[in-house]
Amino acid sequence: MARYALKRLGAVLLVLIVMSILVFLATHALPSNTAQLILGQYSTPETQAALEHKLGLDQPLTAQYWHWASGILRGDLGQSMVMERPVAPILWDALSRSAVLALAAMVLVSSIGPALGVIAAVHQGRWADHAATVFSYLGISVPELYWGLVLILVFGSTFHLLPTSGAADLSDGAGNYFAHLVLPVVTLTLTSLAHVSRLTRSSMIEALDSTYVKVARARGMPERIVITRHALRNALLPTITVLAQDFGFLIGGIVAVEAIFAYPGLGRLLIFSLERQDLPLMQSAILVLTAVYCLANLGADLLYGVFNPRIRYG
Amino acid sequence: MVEAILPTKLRRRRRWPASLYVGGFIVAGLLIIAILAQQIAPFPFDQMHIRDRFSAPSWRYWAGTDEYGRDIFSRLLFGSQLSIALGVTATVISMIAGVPLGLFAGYRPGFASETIMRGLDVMMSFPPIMLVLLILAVTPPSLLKTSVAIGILFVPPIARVTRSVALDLMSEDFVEAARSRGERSWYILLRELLPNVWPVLMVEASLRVVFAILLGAVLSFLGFGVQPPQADWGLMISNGRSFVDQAPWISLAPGLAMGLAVIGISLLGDGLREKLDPRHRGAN
Repeated sequence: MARYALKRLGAVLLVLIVMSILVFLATHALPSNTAQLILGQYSTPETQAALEHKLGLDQPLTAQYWHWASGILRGDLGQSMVMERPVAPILWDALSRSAVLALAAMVLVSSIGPALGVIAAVHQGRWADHAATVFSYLGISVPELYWGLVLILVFGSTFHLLPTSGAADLSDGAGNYFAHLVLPVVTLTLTSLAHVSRLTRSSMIEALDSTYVKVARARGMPERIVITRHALRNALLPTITVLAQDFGFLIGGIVAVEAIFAYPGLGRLLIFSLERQDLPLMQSAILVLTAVYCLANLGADLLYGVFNPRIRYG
Repeated sequence: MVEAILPTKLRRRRRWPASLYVGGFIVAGLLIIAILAQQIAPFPFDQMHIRDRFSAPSWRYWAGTDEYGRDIFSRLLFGSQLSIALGVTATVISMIAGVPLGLFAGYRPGFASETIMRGLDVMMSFPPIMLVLLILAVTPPSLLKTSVAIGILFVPPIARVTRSVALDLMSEDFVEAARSRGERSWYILLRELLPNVWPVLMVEASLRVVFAILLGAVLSFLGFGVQPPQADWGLMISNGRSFVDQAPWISLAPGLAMGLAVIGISLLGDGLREKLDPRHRGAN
């Protein structure tokens, strides 16, 4: 297990290195002239050249990459060109805000999703199942943007119950803080929920049809125990894998959801940096998001082994 | 008598699944609308009616008008062309690259195949949206570029599915027979393997079209996909965000259209899966 974890951690490092090269090359292929972007359109070629020299943009690509990558390893993420502040604290604030969204959504999805799936499977073919099916189809088919807008329309514009944009600090009062979180978290949850409940339903139906469940019933076990101890424990295995995949979707979803609700997290920071072509900010945001994504996948794989004793790591 | 002997599962299998009909009906309708958009749309997609800005849905404007007084219903019809074009182009691109890679990896396991699959693994370990954003941020946006970016993103999953099916098929008798007849590799790949991989690929392709449309909508919403004044559904939803208080129909209508399209394609895919893919029978 420890060897496997180390091996996978090595793979994550490899992915990060590849991504860092990709990001570096992509940002250097950007059509704009960075120096001109910073100095404005009235700058002269001389001042641009001077700034390029100061930023090290006139050095060969490999030297620039080395300078940048070694800086990151030392914890120096550079200076945001647009905001003229160090990248690290900006990134840290945004990351912690996004993490709150992602974790809250993940907790909701992993508790409500399987529950819905089990209810649908146990009542297969009856109204509860049909309701869950319709709900899942809506959840899977409608993009998170749309859910976001519908929620804004209902809870913001019509009933004025919840704030529809921005975020609050805990120092502004806990109520205010949580109120700003509700709509983005619900939007993120809705899309992944359907996925998880669908999958739990089909693996649960399979489990309920299996020999070991029939044997358990034949031995006269109460249905509640048959469902929770025998069927569910086996049915949850594929669900765990999907939950991990959904974490990836969640990161994609966060970019969209933060845009709709103007929530100042990592996704919005990334879009901001792409729009304004703020290279250091963009590079760091992409690397951090990739790292989080890879580590989440790794965590899920290890967790899968804990839940499934049949898996032997080699 | 024969009826009674047949196991229930076998009897049920003969019927075509209902999802195939419903999904097929919606998708067919969508295709007809997309092809005939020019003819059915009451107005051109970019015609402005300045006096009728923010009109609620009415007999004249079935789905209302937007901030420039453009007819939303007409824009929805034209938008179907863009969404279908994006979904289909991206899927076709991913299949053109992914299917040969997967077939090769399944047909001839070895160092080269292993290298290809590991490379694709690395690609899949990036957050999906990041890869697309990276491609799109580098050059000015266009529909074709968005399709290509999404297509590239979908190469690894397509190659994986193709490979796993091809690997299964390699141990089948008909492949053995072709080999012992002394057929060439390309013959086995194209005439023996490909036709049998096809059903599974069709199902996977329908899924990919859906994902591409949804991802395309998110990208347009973020400003990295189709650009104004094009009548793209994602772009329309994004425009409506600012006016959701006074004119909710601007973004609700394209959202509904997109939901319907995606549900139709998903149903069609589910139906196809039940009909064609033996691995998924009985799971649902």
